[in-house]
Amino acid sequence: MSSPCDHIKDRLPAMLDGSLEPEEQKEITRHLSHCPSCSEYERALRRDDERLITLAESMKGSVRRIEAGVGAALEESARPDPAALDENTRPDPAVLEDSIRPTSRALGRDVRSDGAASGQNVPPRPAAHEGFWRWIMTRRRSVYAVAAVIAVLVVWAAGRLPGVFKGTTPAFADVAAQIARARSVSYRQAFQVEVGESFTTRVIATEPGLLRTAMPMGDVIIRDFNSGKSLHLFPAQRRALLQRFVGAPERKLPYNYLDWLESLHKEGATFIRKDRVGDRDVNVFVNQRDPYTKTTVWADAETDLPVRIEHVAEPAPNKDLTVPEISLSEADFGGSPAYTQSISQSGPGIVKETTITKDEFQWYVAFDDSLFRLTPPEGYALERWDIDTSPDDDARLVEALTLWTGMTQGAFPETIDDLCDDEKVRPLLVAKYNGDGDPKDELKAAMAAANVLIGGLYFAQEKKLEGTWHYAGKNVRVGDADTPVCWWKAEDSDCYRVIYGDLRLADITEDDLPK
Amino acid sequence: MGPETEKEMVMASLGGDRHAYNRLVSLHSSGVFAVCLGILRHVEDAEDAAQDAFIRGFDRLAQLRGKEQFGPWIRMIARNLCIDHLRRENRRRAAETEHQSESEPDPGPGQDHSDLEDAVMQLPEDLRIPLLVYYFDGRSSESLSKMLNISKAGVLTRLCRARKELRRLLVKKERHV
Repeated sequence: MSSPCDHIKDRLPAMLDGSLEPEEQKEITRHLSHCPSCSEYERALRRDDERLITLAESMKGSVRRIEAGVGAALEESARPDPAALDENTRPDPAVLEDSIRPTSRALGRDVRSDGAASGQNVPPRPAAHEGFWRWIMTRRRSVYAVAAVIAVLVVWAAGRLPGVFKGTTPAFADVAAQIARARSVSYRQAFQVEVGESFTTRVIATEPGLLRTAMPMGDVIIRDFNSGKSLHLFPAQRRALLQRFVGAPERKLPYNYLDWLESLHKEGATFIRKDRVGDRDVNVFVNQRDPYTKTTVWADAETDLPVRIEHVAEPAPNKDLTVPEISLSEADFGGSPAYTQSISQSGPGIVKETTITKDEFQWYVAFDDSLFRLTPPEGYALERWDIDTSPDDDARLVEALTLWTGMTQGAFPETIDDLCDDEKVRPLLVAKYNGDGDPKDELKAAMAAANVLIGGLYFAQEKKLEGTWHYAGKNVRVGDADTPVCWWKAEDSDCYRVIYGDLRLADITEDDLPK
Repeated sequence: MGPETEKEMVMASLGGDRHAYNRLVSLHSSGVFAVCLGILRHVEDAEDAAQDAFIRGFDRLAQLRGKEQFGPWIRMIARNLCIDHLRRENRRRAAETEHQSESEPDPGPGQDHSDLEDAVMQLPEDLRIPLLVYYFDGRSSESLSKMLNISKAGVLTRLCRARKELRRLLVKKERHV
């Protein structure tokens, strides 16, 4: 426990800067008048300050030498002749105008390119259950949830793919090296989900494993990838939601957007062409993570730092895969209509067509640590929520069907997509969890159930994508032990897994499959 | 009458006016040197790196966009050069000797490091650089706020932490003497 003197000593540097309120200054001065220890500490700080000033003065010679050295070097070098400047180097006054955002700083640049890269060395689809995380968001509109999941997908995306990096010059390894040096970045991020709504966020990321996103509705999300926690702040309601993601498999993938960017070269970021944007040269690289997900990076040819990045995720064609998503409002349980939560999960091919564009990059920005703290500001009501992020496997599907049949007096869903059909599942969850309790607690319980349903449907969608999924649960009731409800080909096996009407999971051979 | 604002100096420099560029150098030399010293922790190396940064900046000035962006841009160039230098030095030391300790920067011949300098160089980089820039660049919270892209309150907090940690390091040294 800190003593009063510890507190005083903590505040003394601020007093020397003259940044304390008068009342606090008086309080500290009173304390100093009768505390020899703090008084000595204050004198020592003043001595340090004077010595630092003297040190800086003593280094003025270094500064003069720098200026003289630069002056001499410029004298010796050829003077750039304005008449000799070609198209590539002659400054364009329009370009040198402040064409970037008024609040943009340092290296913010707006880059556009219409390059259409062709995917090369498309790797095989990753194994199921590898690194797809579910994101639980609190939004007023579900498109944000979907897009936010896409953003998380980008960070937590599927595992190591055997992409081939053709080590030609320029190499993405050089870009990765610059990203590794920078270790902090801010950028603008624009989401376009299907044809329709788009929105923009501002993101800052820094090592170790910290990310902060300012959402367009005014809320803020702070993520700590090391601890697996996320703090969601709602300034308008003065509420905060601290989420802890539990049950995730041991991470084998990069855990920060910066690490993910660096690692692209290991996965196969291929240089495809040089380009020019404005008066600058850029190198363009493409990473085709899987048949449905492509990342394009435009990197400044001089600094090797990204100036624009585009992620495009497309649904698997001709598969008609529903993206699992459920939204509930606190109002459903008698609470505030302004507080809505959504869960959705996406993965390669199981996604709405989404383009995420990042630009206005600023690198090497020194952010204040307070921006990434997982404690809410004073006066905020804090809720805590553990989110199960264990892999979605067949056990999760059984759990989802068990939950569903428990809410429907034993009836299986007509189609597996019903698990997340808003018109069907929402009334069921509200009926189950709405009671006389606190709406916040009821919403939390309902969202935990929604989490299970999301996971079950996502598993089924993966099997659909593989082409082995079959569902026959319509009109089947719980307890019918001999009736197969759904089946799919088991991973790395010639067998098929079946869930029967009594919710039993079993393996059968292809010969025994229902006709 | 010569260029008055930094933007005008940049424009004039691009037109070949070396005097205008020298004025930019004068405006930013202290801050750039402080950054280099904060990373390299060696005065002569920091001088060389700062000088190289400005020379490189002159060669690449056409790539600079946005008014009053010269300061952050040139500091980024300086930082990159310093990190490259450290990597080369580490490789050189590893190749030349197995026994040299890398825990402290090599002071080089003729360097007389006071306890204060030693303590400053032991600060973590996120405190060392702002502290050096503050004292070397005219003790301006506002310019440090712009450099770090944080609020003035954030600057004062950072400086407070730096001073407290510096005091702690100095006390520790005094006890070991």
